[in-house]
Amino acid sequence: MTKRFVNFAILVALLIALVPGAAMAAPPPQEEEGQTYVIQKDDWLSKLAEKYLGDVEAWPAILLATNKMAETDPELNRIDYADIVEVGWMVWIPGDAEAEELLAEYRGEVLPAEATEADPGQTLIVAVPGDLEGWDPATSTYFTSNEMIQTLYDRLVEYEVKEGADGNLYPAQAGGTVDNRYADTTKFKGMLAETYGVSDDGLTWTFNLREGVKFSSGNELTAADVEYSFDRSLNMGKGILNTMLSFAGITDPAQTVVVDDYTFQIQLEEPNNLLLHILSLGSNSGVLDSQVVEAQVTPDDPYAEKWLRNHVVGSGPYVMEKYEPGNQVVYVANEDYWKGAPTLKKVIYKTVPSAQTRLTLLLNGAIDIAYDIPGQDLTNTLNGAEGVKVVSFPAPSTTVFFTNNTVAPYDDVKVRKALCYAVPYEALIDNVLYGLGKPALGPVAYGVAYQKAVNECTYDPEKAKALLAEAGLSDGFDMTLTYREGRPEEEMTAVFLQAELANYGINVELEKIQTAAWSERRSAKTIIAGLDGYTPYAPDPTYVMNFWYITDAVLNTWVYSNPRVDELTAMSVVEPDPAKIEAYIGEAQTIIGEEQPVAWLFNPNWNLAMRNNVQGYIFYPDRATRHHVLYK
Amino acid sequence: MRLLVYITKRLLLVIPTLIGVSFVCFALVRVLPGNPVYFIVGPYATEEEIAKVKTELGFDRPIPEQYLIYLDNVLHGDLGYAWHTSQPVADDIKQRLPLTIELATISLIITLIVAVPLGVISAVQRGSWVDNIARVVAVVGVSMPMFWSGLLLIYMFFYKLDWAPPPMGAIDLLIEAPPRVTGMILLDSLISGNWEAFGSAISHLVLPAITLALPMIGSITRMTRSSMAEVLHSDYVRTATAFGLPRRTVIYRDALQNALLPVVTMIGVLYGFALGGAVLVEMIFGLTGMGSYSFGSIMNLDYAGVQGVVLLVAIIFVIINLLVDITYAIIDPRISY
Repeated sequence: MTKRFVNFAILVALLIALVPGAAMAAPPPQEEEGQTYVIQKDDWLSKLAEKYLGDVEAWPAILLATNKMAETDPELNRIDYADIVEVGWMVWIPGDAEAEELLAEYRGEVLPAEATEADPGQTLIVAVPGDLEGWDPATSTYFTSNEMIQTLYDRLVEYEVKEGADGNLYPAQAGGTVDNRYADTTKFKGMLAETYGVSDDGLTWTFNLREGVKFSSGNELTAADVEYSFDRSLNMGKGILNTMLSFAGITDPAQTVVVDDYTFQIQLEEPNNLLLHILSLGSNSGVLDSQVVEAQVTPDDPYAEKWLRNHVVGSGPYVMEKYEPGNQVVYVANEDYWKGAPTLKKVIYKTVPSAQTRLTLLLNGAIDIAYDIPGQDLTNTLNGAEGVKVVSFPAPSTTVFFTNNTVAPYDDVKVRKALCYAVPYEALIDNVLYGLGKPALGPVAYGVAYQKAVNECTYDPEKAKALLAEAGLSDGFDMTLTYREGRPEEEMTAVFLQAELANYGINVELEKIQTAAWSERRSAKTIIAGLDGYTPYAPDPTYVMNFWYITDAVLNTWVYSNPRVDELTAMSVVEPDPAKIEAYIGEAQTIIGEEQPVAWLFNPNWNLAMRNNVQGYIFYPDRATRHHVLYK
Repeated sequence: MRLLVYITKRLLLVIPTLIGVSFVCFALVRVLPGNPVYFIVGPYATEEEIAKVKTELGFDRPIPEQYLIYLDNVLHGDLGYAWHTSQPVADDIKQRLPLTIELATISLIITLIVAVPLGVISAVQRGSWVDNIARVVAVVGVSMPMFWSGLLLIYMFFYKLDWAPPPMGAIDLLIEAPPRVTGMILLDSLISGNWEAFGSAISHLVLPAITLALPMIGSITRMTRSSMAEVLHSDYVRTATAFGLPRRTVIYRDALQNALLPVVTMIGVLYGFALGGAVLVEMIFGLTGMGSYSFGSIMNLDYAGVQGVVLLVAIIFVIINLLVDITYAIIDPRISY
């Protein structure tokens, strides 16, 4: 509506301007370099454009040129409203070449009506399906929250970036640059730590912090803040960061040491290969402004948990400006960011619950990025759609069909193998993922170091039947297959499995439950057969084992247990020699492959639909978008 | 005076009603499978963490005790803390209710402007083309699901014609919302004289309001038509006509007034429903009102959120019913309290 109104206003201005413009004598000669001009009575931008540039429609060139010059030259006046210039203002009339450049830059976009408003070219509008779940890095586990936290907080270290992946689903339409950059998860570089190193015995890690890094509060980030951020989580005794730090061998606040303002140390009891991965986690290892957080501490809330759920005290490339629960989150560029100010000055997250609406908004250009677009729209509706691209990267995610390994008949490995051979893998990838995924090779997905192909299962009904016969279950049995509400892909998979397993006399009853019920039953290990998926944020096999396959793993929903796998995992975490790690973790994967605790259905890609002009995307294994590298 | 006594009596009756509602709702959300603790701690939590958070939130206590604590808090004006938005439920309601009131009111106005005249005319000129249109409108309005009509409107007016703004929120993203006075963007922009914001807000609300109005138009048209038709056949209308009163006077002065009684009840009920949360409309148009809030609360098993919404809806219905009864007394001189 606004656009329309502004357009109309400009049109009227143009018409009015044309009358005196036409009566003018021959236009004065145009200077190649451009010139200043003082606004006279009855001057309009379009009138000047006609007079000096020979084209009434070239007025934006004058506006842009003037505003550009006004940044450095105090004599020139900034034009805030396209239709308001005052007598006596000095504007800049660009030369022909420059004018053309500026017009190209303008690309038909109407300037914002108010100077205080962001330029659409510098604003990123993202549509996400659901509510956001708070901003405490120590406890955040929800994808959207994780994504925001990694953009608002900095960590000690981060992954290097490399090129070469083919990330565009429709290369022909990508138009601009190819999205082929992704995180190299085998190489780290300093983030808040300018340099870092480990002692020869692998026990003492020293991080030399960058000087002069400021929090959004203005406080300088020092080693005390780093220590506080980790100690807070350790003292809380709960939260995902606490669990992850324990994987990295940090369980006691005494292990985190402030040497001086810019030197931070972690002292381990034994070497740990997960440490850097954990410290690089955008979702949880962010460094908090300890002074601000401590000011919010109350006797009831010694770690300011409530306050941190909807406040942000980071040093990241963006600063939170506005949070309206369930509606939108707005953050603005941190102009003093140590890596340099981000190109996109404003990022707006809009909650748009309906996938159809998100799709329509994207097609229309009202938003720049749409999350959670169904596979059929990614491959059909968006195929050939103008101005839209889809990035699709193989992610370290795995979708599984699991059974409780301790409950009959699933305690028999033959039954688990039979179920595994009964899965129509290709049909699932084609019909559920619309081809946007790969067959899974085992417990560890693509992009994870030391991945070993141990999944022997293919779609083989004869073998499945034979295995069931061996297990004495030729006549089949009853199964309740549990999955979560609001997950259309799991629902489709469940229906496929139901139809397929009927061929073996296995009578599958589908049970769709709410996420809350799912979480409770998963925690109590009372889901007997179900569908689940996992994505290791740190793409390391020991991380996968620690969360999903060792006996005590919190997400070992399939109640799998093999002491040798536990032992091998523990050995790999502390082993410095890569060859030995490969041997240990390889053996663990082989064992898991033989015992088939779950059927690995597929590795779905990470798909993101965005406007063509959003450039610079880099894929990270945690799947969160790094906003500061994007530009339009 | 008698009316005042009546209103006071009615208001006093509200208290046991609300206590009953709060009890039923409190019990019902706890009967649902699942426990919000598992949402709060996230999927990676260990048993000890879960136990710890349960204790922190008081979920380890017996349910009757939890209810008494809740009731005590509510009586002190504390509706609890909605963990899925990370803020008190009262604040959530304060932020979201105004938009819903706006939406429901606009759609009610649209409904009244369209449905009542349509119903009256079709009753008076039965079998005419107006009557036929009215019947089609009524059937379509009542039977077309809102998620469908909403998407159609978006497709037509936003995607194809580009007349409507993006179905995303209540105001254009790049327009600064007016300073908050009532919380209703339309009123606030009027108060601050911000015409740009007013225009943007109106344009954002038109499609959702029409979507919400369609089923209401359907039922009100039907109701007006049948009620009017009935009254037109009554003795007193025939008598009035026999006395030679002009037909216009008979219809609009004598008949309409009586025919509107059931319509008023219906309007009250529909308005209550619209206020209680036009869940689908808000989801489709990306509006942050009570509908999307109740949906979010239920999906996240946010006990405090669900209880707050139910209590609010109960209060709204009580007030609306009271208003309907008072309106009765004004319209129908036979009724007095």
